[in-house]
Amino acid sequence: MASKTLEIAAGNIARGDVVIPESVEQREDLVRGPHTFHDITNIVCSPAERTFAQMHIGWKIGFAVAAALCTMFISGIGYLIWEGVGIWGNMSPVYWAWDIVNFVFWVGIGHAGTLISAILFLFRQKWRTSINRYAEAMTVFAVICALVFPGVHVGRVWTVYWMFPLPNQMAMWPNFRSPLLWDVFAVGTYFTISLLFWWVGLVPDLATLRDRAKTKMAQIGYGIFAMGWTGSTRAWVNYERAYLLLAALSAPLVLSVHSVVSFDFAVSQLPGWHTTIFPPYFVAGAVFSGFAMVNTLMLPARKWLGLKDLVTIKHIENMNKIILVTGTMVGYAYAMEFFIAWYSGNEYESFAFINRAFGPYAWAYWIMVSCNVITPQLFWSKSIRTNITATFIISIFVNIGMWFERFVITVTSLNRDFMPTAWHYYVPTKFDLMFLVGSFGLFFTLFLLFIWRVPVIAMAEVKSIMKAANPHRH
Amino acid sequence: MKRLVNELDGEKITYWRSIDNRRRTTEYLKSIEDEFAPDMTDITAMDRRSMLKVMGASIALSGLGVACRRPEEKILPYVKEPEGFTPGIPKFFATAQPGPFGASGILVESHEGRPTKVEGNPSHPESLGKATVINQAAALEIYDPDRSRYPVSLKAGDPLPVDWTDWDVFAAQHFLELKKKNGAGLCIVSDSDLSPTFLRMKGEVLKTYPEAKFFVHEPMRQKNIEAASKLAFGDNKRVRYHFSKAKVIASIFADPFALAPESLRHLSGFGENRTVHQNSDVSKMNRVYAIEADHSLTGINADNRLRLPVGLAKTLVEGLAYELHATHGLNIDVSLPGAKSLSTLVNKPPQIKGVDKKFLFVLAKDLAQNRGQALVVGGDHLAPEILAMIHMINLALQGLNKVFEVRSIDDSDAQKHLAAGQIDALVAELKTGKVETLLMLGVNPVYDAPGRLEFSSFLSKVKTTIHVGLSRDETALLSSWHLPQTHFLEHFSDTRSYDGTISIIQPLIMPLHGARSSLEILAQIAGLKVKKPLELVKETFGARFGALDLDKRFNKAIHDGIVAGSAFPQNSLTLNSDKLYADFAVLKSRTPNRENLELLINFDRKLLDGRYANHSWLQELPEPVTKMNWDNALLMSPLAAREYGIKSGVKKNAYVADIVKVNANEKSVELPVFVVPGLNDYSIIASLGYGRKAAGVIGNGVGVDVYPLLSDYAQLVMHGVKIERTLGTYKIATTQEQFAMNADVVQEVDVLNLQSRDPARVTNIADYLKTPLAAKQKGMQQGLLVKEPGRADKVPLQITDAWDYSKGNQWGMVIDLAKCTGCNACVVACQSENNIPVVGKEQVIRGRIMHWLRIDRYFVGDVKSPLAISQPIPCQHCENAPCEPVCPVAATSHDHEGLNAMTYNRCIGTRYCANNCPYKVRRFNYFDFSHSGNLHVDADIVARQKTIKLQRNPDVTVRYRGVMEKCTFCTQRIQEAKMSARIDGRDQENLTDGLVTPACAQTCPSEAITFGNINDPKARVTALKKIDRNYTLLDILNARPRTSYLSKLRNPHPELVA
Repeated sequence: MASKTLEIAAGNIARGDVVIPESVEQREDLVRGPHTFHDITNIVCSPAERTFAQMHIGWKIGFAVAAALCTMFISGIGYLIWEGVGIWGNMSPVYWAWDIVNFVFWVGIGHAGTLISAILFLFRQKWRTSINRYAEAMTVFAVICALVFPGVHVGRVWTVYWMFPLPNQMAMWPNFRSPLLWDVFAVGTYFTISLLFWWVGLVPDLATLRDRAKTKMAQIGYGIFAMGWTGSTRAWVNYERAYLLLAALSAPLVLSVHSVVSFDFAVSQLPGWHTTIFPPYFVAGAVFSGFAMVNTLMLPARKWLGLKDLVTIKHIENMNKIILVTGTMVGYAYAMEFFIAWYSGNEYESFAFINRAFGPYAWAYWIMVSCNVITPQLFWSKSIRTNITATFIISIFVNIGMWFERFVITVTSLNRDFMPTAWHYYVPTKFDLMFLVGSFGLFFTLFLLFIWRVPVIAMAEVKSIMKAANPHRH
Repeated sequence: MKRLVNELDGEKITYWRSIDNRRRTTEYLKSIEDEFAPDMTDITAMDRRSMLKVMGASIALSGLGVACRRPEEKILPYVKEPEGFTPGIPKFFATAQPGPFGASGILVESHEGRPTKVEGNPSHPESLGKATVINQAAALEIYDPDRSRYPVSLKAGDPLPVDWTDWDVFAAQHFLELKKKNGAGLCIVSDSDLSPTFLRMKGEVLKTYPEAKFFVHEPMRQKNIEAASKLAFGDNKRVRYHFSKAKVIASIFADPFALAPESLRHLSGFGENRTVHQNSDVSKMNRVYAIEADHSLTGINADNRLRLPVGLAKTLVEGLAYELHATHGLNIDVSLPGAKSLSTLVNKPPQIKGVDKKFLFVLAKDLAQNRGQALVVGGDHLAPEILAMIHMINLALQGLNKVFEVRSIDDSDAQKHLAAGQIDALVAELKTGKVETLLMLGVNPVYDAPGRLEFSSFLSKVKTTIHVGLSRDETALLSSWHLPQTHFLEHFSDTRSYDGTISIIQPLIMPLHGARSSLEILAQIAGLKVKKPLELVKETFGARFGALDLDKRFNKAIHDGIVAGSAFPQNSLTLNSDKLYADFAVLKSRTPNRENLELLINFDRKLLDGRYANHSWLQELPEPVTKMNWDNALLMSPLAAREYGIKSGVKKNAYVADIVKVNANEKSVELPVFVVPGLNDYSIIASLGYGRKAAGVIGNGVGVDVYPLLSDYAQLVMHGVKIERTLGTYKIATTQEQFAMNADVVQEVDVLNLQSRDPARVTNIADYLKTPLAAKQKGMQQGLLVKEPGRADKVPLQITDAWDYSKGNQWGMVIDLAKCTGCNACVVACQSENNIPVVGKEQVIRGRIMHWLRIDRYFVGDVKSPLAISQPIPCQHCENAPCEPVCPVAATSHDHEGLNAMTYNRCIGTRYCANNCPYKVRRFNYFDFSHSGNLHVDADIVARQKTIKLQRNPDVTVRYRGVMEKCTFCTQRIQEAKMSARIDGRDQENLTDGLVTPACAQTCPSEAITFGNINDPKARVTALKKIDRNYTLLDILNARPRTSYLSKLRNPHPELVA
């Protein structure tokens, strides 16, 4: 059987979805098929060793589109800096609109990666190994997309570094009372830790690629990032420790980052923003949207890159369960907000929520509720949560719903607050749309490059959960 | 030149959103369904070069960072400093602004020789130290970049820019020929200003050209009111009102607070009698009744309002006369020559069909009970006979020389000038074909002549037409010569106010574009040796002041801004009751109905007859009731709109109005419909002054021109008007949403009436007297808008230690809603003081208007006939300002005098502060509104900026894009006062009350705004804050604003309270 894989490898295209075994007797294996360690190496390294011409046509088309959108995004940023944020639809009283919606959306997406890599690692959830690399990459890229928005949404981009506590001749510190400053630290830390965590995890695999590399360029390139990995026991011991420490550092970030992001809203006095439920509600929403995004990204890649034996239905089902749980939590938060608005007896608060559900942006609210609360409930059915197509469609719904959740929170609360005379309806411009789509362009450009040149599955880790690595099967 | 012509040809301007250019075409917007409309930022409209610029910029920004330097500017000191002049210290000069209702006395602030701001002249009898919107506007008008810069002569049908010498050569020859003919065929038309020197020049011209004819063209002359004083009191009489002495005021289709002579005095008198600080003041409070079909500024501030079609005015006035005479026994003084008892007219009860009898009886009773202190004012929409009858009623109310007076225009030149032929006579003269030369001085009849006269078609038959004006307007474009005219801030002249007081106009600056004044042109034509305006004016006063004292008294008159004792005298009255009663009796009332509407044509409160159409401050100023700007519309009642199936309403971010075709006077115009509650059901209202074709970049094509419907300025009401819906719709910018959840127009008001969300409190005086504090709680949920306790018993809910605000100057403001009329003077004063940019219609729809001080309008009361409350909202300067903690870079912070300060240099533009401001007073520079565009910069905008920049107040930072801004309580004025206190050795930490006055408070005609140090027990503001009507907005938030309000107080007649 192994020879069959090798045959394919000889054709320079290794696939991991050729041999689908019959149903197993015991607990289902995390890696299916009769693969050896070397097969795994071949399967995972194969996409990273292809030339551009050898890449799947789907990848090429995807990359072309993504790169075009990314170029549009960068041009858009240039135009924005040149002209001013007025090219967007932001106005009075909706001073924050799609810029912040997109920011929160992308930060939220990132959360799944950290949850999978850090928390599931600490809880010894071995199934994570097949998807963690993927999810971590998604985290890093999503946070990059997220950081663009607060970076460029300010009126004077060239002074944005004043947000950092840099020594200056005015002896002027930033305002440590401002949630936006907390954001700078929270998201900054998050990005740094996520990047390091991802990179540390990558080191053994990059070394593998380095060792397999046939060109000088690849040897040097992978060599630099593999940081002289030798694979010695000593290296492995240090590596495992570093990984554990970073996992421990990342774990609280899963909870803290989106809590701090939620403070941007919760600390203000605006009805609809000023609620204590925001931190847990935002974290649940973030995990919810992040898992949906992992599904969205992974399902096609799994098929096209031939990774079905490594990312099995079990993985998908597990993720769908988390989507179901967090989706229900989010739904509970929506209901609780309404309850508190009524229970508080605060007229402005009550109005904010009535306005949300029945005001001029009711359409956005009900899109949010249908996508986030109703759709995930379908995952109660095992047949749906193990159905790839259904999972993919629902994951798209959740992505849309979660974007709208941020829209509903940001825009509907702002557009009608205390003074009825200042109410005004927000209408986005083409540039708002361009920036949203463009940020997806940036994300997918990075992601497709990642698929092309970096091992998308943590080979070393996956090998550790294979039968062969654990012959006693306890 | 080419540019102007091109604009007229409808060439589309491709750049956008600088302060001067946001209004592109008048095309009715086609696609309101588009989610992304208004499409300000269509990248497809970008040409290849711009696209390359963007791409290049992106690369430069991503790679290199911004490497542009600021433009180099040089500051040079004086070699010889002018005497009495310190750079950086502004000087104030008295002058006067001529206007359609007579001149207003103003003080103009001058910074290094640039006039920057207009204030009222306290010694002038009309302005009393206050300034109207129109007065304030002069500071920008002079810098209008569309003012003409050179004479233009039509050569072979093509307008060519020429030199003044070309004109001089032409004039010498042309007028020599005319002189030979004794001036036959020469017609000169000017405005109705009674400038003594101008009138003297007129005489000089007539000496040279005995057969020349003079005409006067002033659309806003209030012909009916003029005719009425003639009917009532004889020729050359003017009626003045003293609102400060009136206890009961009835405004019958009038608007004495706006668009009327001496509106500042009226507002001031109104405000004076609305000062209710303690229970004993209540008895002094005046009561205003308004009977009107539209919303006048007076009407929305009235205590009792009656909706009535103008067509029923005769019924109303007749009923009122009968009631006063028959029921209350009042009569005019029959001992006056020519007077007849009212009983000759109203000897039997008249039919009062269509008029609310109860209202009429109560009004009559109230007027009668307050005889001697009661005043009835009629508006120019009424027939002269009705207005004259209103004068008779005033006589019967024994108010003569108490609440009103009659002045006689004693100057024969002025009498002649006022009696001169008007536009209809001019057209008749043109029709004869004998006019060879027509000289038009500062008038624009091609645009503003009544459409039915077809002025322009007759103008083209005149061989030589010479237009002298500020800009190349519609008339200039059809004239063979256009000569740039000096602005009144650029020349010496003189003028008279409504009461006859003469003011000498002195220049604040040399003519910006080498223009000449009307006086110079007339002197040139008359062939006078002296042509300098200063000499001409001085000559005029030679006789009055005497040769010996001339210089001294002349200089004093210039300094004071008035010539003392020059007002028109009051002479004894002569009536002609017989004729008046007879003429009045034959008038007929007309009730409009669904098919035959009544159309009221108003002059615009901001643009007047259209002369200010190119004024960006005024175009962007929201109307007091509709809150609409950058447009005019056909105002219609909700009932009529429903019956005609009109669906105008707020849709997304704009007011989407259905367009109707209005057929009146055998002509038609198409207007978008704006539905306003409180209008008379079947009266529709349109304003003049819009739809100009050659106003300039700002005013071209804004709104719709209604002049074509007019046949005479005396006929501003048209009966039997038909309207029909067209399929079109049009987007109107409003600064305040109508809160329509859907297109149902009536529901708007219901939502507005949510008292518990109403931050502008209103109460009536009866409730106030019963339980004064109840006024504060009435209609409000307890705990939401709670009583403001004294400062000491407040428990600050804060984690950190509260700042000690008990020392030094602690600035605070009180705005008395009972006095505020919503006249907008403060908004423009703020704009001109604080360099606030104008953003244009598209940006207003986007919600980006920059006004630091906005006036919120709330409707109250009956849905069918609501009254309005106007609430000015500047920055509230909260002690616990929600905006401050959220700024990540501490760009907004509190100073030790309680000001919520904004550091523009520190601001990076996160806009979090504005999100967290519950009052939404912060304004963000989404674009570089104050300067030219960035990418779309072009030479034209740069040229425009050169003059506009001169208006800027050097004491206030001009904000760049990307920073937040807001009201500062005019911190520059506070600093100025503190500096001068320090220099004088006074205590700058405890300034005397009154030393600091923000621009809004300074100009408020009714003195609704009081500013001062709340730590100073003697300060007016401290006393006002102790009044039980005092409250702060949104107390629930514990923001502790320094700005507080005195609740709105109305004084309705108890019998008319439902």
